[in-house]
Amino acid sequence: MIAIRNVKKSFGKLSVLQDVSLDIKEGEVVVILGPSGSGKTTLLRCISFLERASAGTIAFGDDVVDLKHASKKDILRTRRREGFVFQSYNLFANKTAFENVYEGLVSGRKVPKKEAKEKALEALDWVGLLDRKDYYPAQLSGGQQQRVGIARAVALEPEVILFDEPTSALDPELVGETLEVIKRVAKRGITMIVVTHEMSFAQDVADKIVFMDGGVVVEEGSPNDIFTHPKEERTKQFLKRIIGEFVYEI
Amino acid sequence: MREFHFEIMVEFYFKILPYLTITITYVFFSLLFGFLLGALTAYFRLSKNPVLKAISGAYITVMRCVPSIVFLFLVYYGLPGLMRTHFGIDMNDVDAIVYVIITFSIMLGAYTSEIMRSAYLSVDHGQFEAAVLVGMDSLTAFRRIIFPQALHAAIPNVGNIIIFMLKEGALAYIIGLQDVLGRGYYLNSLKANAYSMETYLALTLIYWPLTLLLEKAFRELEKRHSIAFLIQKKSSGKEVKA
Amino acid sequence: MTLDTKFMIEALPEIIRYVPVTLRLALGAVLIALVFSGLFAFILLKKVPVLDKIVKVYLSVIRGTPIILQMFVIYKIAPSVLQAYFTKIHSGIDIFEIDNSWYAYLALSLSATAFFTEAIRAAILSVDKGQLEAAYMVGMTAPVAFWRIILPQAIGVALPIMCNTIVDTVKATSLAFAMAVTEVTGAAKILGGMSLRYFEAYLDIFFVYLILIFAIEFLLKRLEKWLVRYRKATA
Repeated sequence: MIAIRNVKKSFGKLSVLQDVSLDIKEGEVVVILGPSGSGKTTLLRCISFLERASAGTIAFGDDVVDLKHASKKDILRTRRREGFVFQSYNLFANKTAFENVYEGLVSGRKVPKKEAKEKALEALDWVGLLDRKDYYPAQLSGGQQQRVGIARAVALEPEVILFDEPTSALDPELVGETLEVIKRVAKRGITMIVVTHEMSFAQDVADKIVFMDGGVVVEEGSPNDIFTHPKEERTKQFLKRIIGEFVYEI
Repeated sequence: MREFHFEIMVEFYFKILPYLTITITYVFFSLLFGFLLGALTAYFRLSKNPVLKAISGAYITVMRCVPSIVFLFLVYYGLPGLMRTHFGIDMNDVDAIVYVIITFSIMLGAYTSEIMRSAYLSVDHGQFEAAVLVGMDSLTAFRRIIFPQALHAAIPNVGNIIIFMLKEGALAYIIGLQDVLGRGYYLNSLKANAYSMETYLALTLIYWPLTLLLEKAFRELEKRHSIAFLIQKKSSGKEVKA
Repeated sequence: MTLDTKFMIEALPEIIRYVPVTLRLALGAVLIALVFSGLFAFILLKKVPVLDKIVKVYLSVIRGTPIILQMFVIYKIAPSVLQAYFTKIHSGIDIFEIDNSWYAYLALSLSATAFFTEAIRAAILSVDKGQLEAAYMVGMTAPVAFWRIILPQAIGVALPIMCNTIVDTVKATSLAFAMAVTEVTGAAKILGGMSLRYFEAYLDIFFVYLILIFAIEFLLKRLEKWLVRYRKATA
């Protein structure tokens, strides 16, 4: 189990996260929804140390790490438990699709080269891009790049994969193929935290929905709870605004 | 190590300083002629005439590949002979600064043509089309629309080329010109090169602040010329109503 | 004016004999510059206190003074500084046994170091922050991320400017005569002086430099293209 406790983050005077806590069970898919500026992305970035939190902890089982005071060693250990899929893909521009996956295994996880090669090819095959293995990111479409990004995270076999708005930067016609791949990741039983604006996807894939607004968790529950019986007024307003009629069709 | 004579350094500094006028003279004229030659070269290079294009291209390549000093020597040792045998002109009494200006005008012609060409190409072609569509003729469109924008793109490079000329011109001491560096070299040699350190420090204290000043001036100029700045100035000057 | 073409042809091999000296001077200077510019760029990027101020002043002074002046300074002043130092530590090294080439490498590297430093610093800053974040998130440590991901991309960005600096360094070797090192230009000066055919001698080296630098530029462009091959999208 992963336990995120009392995470706070402010940029100067602006408080972006105010005491956020979250539990994720093994194999669980948690989807975080919320309006822009609600702190969803910041939460992911704090628990992966891409931002330094002002307070809070993350625990993988018994291994509790302080998000504010973590040492370099703590950070490296925590990151090696995590995988991250970025909104803007962030594929290594100087590496081919294959090398993008392989590099993480060899330089990031110290997997022996031969084994890493097999794993990388397998992961690329799994996202349907084996035929593109020698292409550089600049030669791939956005959807293809993001699928490589997913393969890169999955191949590392992390304890949890963090998805930061993985389809927000994509052209509309490429969103579908990417969401399909993410669904397959979910079906593999990998623990995931997904920040997204794709409502129907969230409903399909989530075991638990967390609704955030103004830097706090407003409400959490099963997709059914949240989408059809939201308790909090703010959740209702948000769903109404985002999906409008859709809610009532369920 | 012998001790440093501060008073000699100061003395040299003030003895050298007046010779800055010589340095400024060749910088100014080399740039002036260089830009004229450069404009012509850039025009040729952008033209559709393949012969003019090739000639200007070769000229630029040659200038890029040959050290200034070699070119200065060629002009200094070659030009008098050429003038005498072909035009009957005796250049014996011509001052060294003339050779310096000729050399660097030709070199800067190539460099500045590249600056102008890239500045011209940096302006979106749509700007020209729009100007023509509102009824300007090509020359007016160039003068009123393309040129001001290209000028802005060229500002940093123009600053660099002036600084380049200021520093590279110091080679003139080799053909006996007494500019800033030349004067320092001469003063030091009068004292049997005993005060090299003082001389070089004095020279550094002339060249360095001058380039700092030029760098600062051109950064400021660039800022003042930026579109954002112009908008700011306009909108703070008078109300712009939509 | 009649051109003494016979002299030009006879002098050419004498001059070409010194091409390796020119290349050696440039290569030595570039290698020294690579080491120091890497260090200086690191100091600037890490904002190492005090040292970063010193590096900034260094860059400013070097950019602000003629190369020939820098050569004078090294040639005239470095030996006496070294002599004083060697005497103090009783090393027994005689300063006059140090080959002039070493001063030339050092003097030529001053300017190259300054331009390399600026190019490297700007190139590293130009690499997208997301690249580093992605490297961290696959579990790389900061040094591994730097060597495997950031630096290779930064080199591609820095290379065009660095190539210009390399070419400028080759050109600047023509001033090495000011440090009593004989290379191509120095050889022409000597040959011209002996025969009083300066123009012909300089015309010879004009062509030598033209071919030499043109070839160097060509090779550097090829290298550059190869290093940034990942950038072109052909799919």
